[in-house]
Amino acid sequence: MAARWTDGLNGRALTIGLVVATVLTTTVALWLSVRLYDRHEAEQRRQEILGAARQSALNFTSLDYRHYDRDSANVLKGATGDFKKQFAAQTDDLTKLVAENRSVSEGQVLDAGIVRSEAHSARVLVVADSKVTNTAAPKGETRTYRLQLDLVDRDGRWLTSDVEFVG
Amino acid sequence: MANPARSRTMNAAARAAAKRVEHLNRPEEPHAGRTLTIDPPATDGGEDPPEPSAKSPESPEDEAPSRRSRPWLLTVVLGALLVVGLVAVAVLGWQYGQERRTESARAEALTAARKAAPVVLSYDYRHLDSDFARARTHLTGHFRDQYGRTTSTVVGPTALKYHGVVKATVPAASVVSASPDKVTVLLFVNQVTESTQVSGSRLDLNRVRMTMTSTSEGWKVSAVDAL
Repeated sequence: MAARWTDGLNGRALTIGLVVATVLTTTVALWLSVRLYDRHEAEQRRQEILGAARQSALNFTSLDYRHYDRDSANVLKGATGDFKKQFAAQTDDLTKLVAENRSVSEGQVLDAGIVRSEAHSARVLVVADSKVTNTAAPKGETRTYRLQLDLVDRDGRWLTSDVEFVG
Repeated sequence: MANPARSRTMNAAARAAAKRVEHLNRPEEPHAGRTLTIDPPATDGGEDPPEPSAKSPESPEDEAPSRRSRPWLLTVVLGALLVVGLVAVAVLGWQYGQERRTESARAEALTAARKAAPVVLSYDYRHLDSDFARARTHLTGHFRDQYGRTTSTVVGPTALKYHGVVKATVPAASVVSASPDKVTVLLFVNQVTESTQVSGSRLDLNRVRMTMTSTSEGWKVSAVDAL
């Protein structure tokens, strides 16, 4: 009888121990999953930010007088805030200017890095070059850029709100 | 581990065999041995799945077989769950550790790069040796050797010849990509050069990609590319 009692208690202790261990393990696993998911989202956000910044930089270093309307529309599509206002305000003048000079700028993004990124805003450095041909330089000349872009998240899309040429 | 459950089952089985027909005997036999061995865990154990043993003694026929097999099943199921859980924790924990290390790597490497770049990309012809020696403390691996060769064969002699003084500053720095041990950073570097070859001074607006590597002495520069 006594031996059976002990067996029963051991069995119960084992069961309780297993339940406690399983509950603890599951809790830790769930906590880790949530944290990992957060990190995964942050990494995905960084990639989106870099992609948007690269595209934005490419757009406004790639302007061709033969289809300037399309090119400037591309810039505006990825722009917001002050940058959008400024670029839109200059569009008429620039359209005339690039047409007069028969200006073609072929942009190329060499690299981009994140200065800081938060849930809805980010600052990115972009290194870009462009080959510019116009009436003054028919054979073309290479221009180098050091750009600092501020981006904001507008309804899931990262748009450029400010562009600075870092001197 | 399984002994209590097994002995319980064997006791019951033996008793059942002795009485030949368990189901018939059960109602006649009071709770004597059986309840003592089996009921305590079921009624007292808060962790056990609710067993109706104490509350519904009206249906002992249905209970008896399941009650004998359940401790086994429960132990196996719990054990399996625990193993799966532990494996999951190990895998997730490792991944989380990597993520945490990557996150701190991002910040530490960027700080180290900001500190290293002005030192590595500056020199003064009046104290080249100490400049280059100081720069080398920020470097690691092949790049350190390469830097040593370049400075002693090209940069040093040229600086001496033309009284070259180069001062580098970093107006902006960013992270291109990061892993726990290696981080690629993108820096804007302004270099002001004075020498007998230039009147006044010349400002170069450079774009520099640096690879930072984690070493036992902290983050060091393992590659520099001018873009």
